[in-house]
Amino acid sequence: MRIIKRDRKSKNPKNYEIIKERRNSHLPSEKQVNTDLSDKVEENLKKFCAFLKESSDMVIRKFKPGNNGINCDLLFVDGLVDKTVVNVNILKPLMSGVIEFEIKEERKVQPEEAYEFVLNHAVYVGEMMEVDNLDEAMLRLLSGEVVLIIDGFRKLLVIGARGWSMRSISDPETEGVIRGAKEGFTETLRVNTALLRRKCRDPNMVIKTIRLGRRSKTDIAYIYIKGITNPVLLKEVEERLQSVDIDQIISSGHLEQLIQDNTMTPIPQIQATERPDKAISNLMEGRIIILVDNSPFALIIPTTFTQFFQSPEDYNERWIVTSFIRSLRWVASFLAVFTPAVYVAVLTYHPGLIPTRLALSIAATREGVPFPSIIEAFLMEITIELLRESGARLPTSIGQTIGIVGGIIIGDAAVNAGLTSPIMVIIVSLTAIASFVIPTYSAAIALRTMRFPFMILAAVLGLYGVIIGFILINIHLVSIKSFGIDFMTPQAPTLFQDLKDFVIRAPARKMRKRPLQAYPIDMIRMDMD
Amino acid sequence: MHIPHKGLTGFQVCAIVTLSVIGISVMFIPQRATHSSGVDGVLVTFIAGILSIVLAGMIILVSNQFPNKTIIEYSRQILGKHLGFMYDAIFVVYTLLASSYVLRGFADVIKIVLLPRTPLEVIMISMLLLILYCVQGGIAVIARICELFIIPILLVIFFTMFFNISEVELYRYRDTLSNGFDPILKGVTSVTISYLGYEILFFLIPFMYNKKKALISGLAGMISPIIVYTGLVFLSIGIIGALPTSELIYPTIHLARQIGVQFIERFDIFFIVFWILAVFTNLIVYIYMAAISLTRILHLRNYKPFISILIPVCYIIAILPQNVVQINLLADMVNYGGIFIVLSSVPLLALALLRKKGGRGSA
Repeated sequence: MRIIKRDRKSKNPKNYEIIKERRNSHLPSEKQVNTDLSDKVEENLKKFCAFLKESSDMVIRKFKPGNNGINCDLLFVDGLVDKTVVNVNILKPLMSGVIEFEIKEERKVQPEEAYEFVLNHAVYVGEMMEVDNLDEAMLRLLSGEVVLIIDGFRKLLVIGARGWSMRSISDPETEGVIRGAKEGFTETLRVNTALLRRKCRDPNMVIKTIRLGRRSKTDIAYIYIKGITNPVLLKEVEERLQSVDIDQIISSGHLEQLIQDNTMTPIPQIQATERPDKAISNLMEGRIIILVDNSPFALIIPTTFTQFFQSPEDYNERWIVTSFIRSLRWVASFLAVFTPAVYVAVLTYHPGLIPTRLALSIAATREGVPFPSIIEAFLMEITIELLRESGARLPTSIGQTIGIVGGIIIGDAAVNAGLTSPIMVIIVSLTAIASFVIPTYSAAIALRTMRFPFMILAAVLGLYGVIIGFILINIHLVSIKSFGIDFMTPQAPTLFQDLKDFVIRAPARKMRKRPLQAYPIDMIRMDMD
Repeated sequence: MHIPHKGLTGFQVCAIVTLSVIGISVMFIPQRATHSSGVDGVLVTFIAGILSIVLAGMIILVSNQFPNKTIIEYSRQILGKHLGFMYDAIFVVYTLLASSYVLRGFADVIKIVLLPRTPLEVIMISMLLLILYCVQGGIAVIARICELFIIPILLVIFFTMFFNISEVELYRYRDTLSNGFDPILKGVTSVTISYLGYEILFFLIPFMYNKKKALISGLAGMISPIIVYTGLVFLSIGIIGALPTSELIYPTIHLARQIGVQFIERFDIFFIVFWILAVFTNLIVYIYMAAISLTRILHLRNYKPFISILIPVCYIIAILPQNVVQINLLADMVNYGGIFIVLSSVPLLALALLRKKGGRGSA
């Protein structure tokens, strides 16, 4: 404290200089140097160094190709580039190739033609471009490309040599299927777009990229099919993406929350998927896919409530079987939300609703339980949520132990200890199992969360309270929208044509038109004859 | 995003009409029908249904003359400024009283069947808060709620009816028409009241997407109430008998109680649970009508602030009656108002057509 005070008071100009320098060195680099490019290689390098000299992963290679010794600097970020490409396809031709050329042609490459020469003759890499401003070059350098500075020119050469270690394409873990493709998106945007291209060779499939995040400059690709996707929807998506102003996009889940319609709701209005096949079939229905670099989940826009109950598996199996499974999922969603609430309501207010014998046996098993049913239900539901959450966060090997321990506690010990009744154990496990049937994780957790308020309503107002909650949720669901599309289509507003892919999935040959949900401009999927 | 067809679809109109007719009356219809005309109740219900369809058709026809206006706006064109204002005022009072009556009737049933120890106030207030939230969303949300709920409601009602059919004893109908046509004429009026609810059609046409479908979808919405009502009266007479039915307060609950499904001991509770959905849709329609007619009378556009004013008024009117006699007084007021309003469609149509021919109508 004292030192700073003395600094301020002293009139010594030397101290001022030191303070100024210290302050300066902590300013963002763009305020320290002029960012216009010059034609001197040393000055250009200095500008790069102003930003990057403190970072240890920067590599600067100075060399002088040709007999005239033209000053060149090669810059790249260690770890982001493929070193073989840098050594064999860039440095080797520039160093020995130029000399060979000069010997063969019996002339020297002059400094004035050096740039053109390098561009046209000396680099064995497919992807190369000229850049004439520092920002762009810096961005490309930090995305893993190689920057070549040649003395005497205001332009920089950016050579594509990206190559970093990445996770290989693997089985999508959150959306497993039995008969579908076993590949899922990875963390690298290019791999993901390639996965999509492999599945659809339509030249009308457009992959546009924008950068979001003031600092992170994350690549966001939005993909649509020209001629199917409604241009109004496309415009809406573009506008919402451009309106995002944030320093970093963490993942696609983060982006989803920045562009969604309603915030005050547990229900996701954008679906995330790990599966390229699911993404492609959604593109074919006129929807838009958003891929975020560093995130293995694609966003499907717009999303309706029914989509949470659809799985790519549904289209691989016969329609009767699929329809059965679909209806099972809808039943499961009701069970996941309402079972504990209805149990509490019936036990507390309307024991007459259940058959007398069952009522008697429930009463007998609850004999030693010291709590009212609502406390019992809350206790058990929270326990199972704790188990689920800890199992999900722990490493797989310990996770299994948690499962066994939890199974014993819930299944046996809690009953023996008189904390809960066996019926409650059944209810809780039924709820848990039912909630795992729903194919979309984010929808499943939303439904699971809802059962707690429902239990409170049931304890306060019985079945009337449960129904009030049910109506409330329905009002909420029909009010919210996903990118302007009503969230509850095709139930409300009813689109009769789309009911073919609702609880019952019509035979593949009968689904001749695309679903109307995303309002595609080309409706025909199959010839109408 | 702009949605290609904005506005109510035909199915939505159909659902709104069906649910606002069925609503609360489904509880009382067998009692009403048998009370005034005994065994002839089945015929009476059917005839009253046909009459209601005709009246609903009249309402649509008169509204079709002014496809972009609600009754509040065009009634002044037809009736003139002062008479029109009085007519509109009747509309507001009627819808408000009707929603209070429905609310009270609903709360009574819930108290008797589901929550005997819960005060009426709690039941009413919780329902009204829900309505407040729903009606804020406007006609689009109301319509979607109706089309979501119509299928489960009708399914449960038909389920109840289907499982009761085997209990019907045909000898109970043998007195049909034994008293001539007098009881039928007497009954038709009181049963027509039970079909009330389709006056919402006065308001729906301007919000429709395809106005040409108005007539067909409005009338289609009246078909299932006729089937449900006639069926319920038929079953009540066949199972309980005409005289006992006329003395029960909630014969429909009695019918539901008869059903012995293996896993639900008391089906009536299950039935009531779904009936709550029907009453809820009925109530949102009435409150919406009250709010929008009040707004339009004052030449305002945004009806949302009025809902918050109307809902406490509705609550006070609903909680005021202390006993059955007072409730019946409220019911009578609602019934006369309703009958007046649906019957007014006939002179309104005639006047509208006359004015149009005279070239003075600006529609």
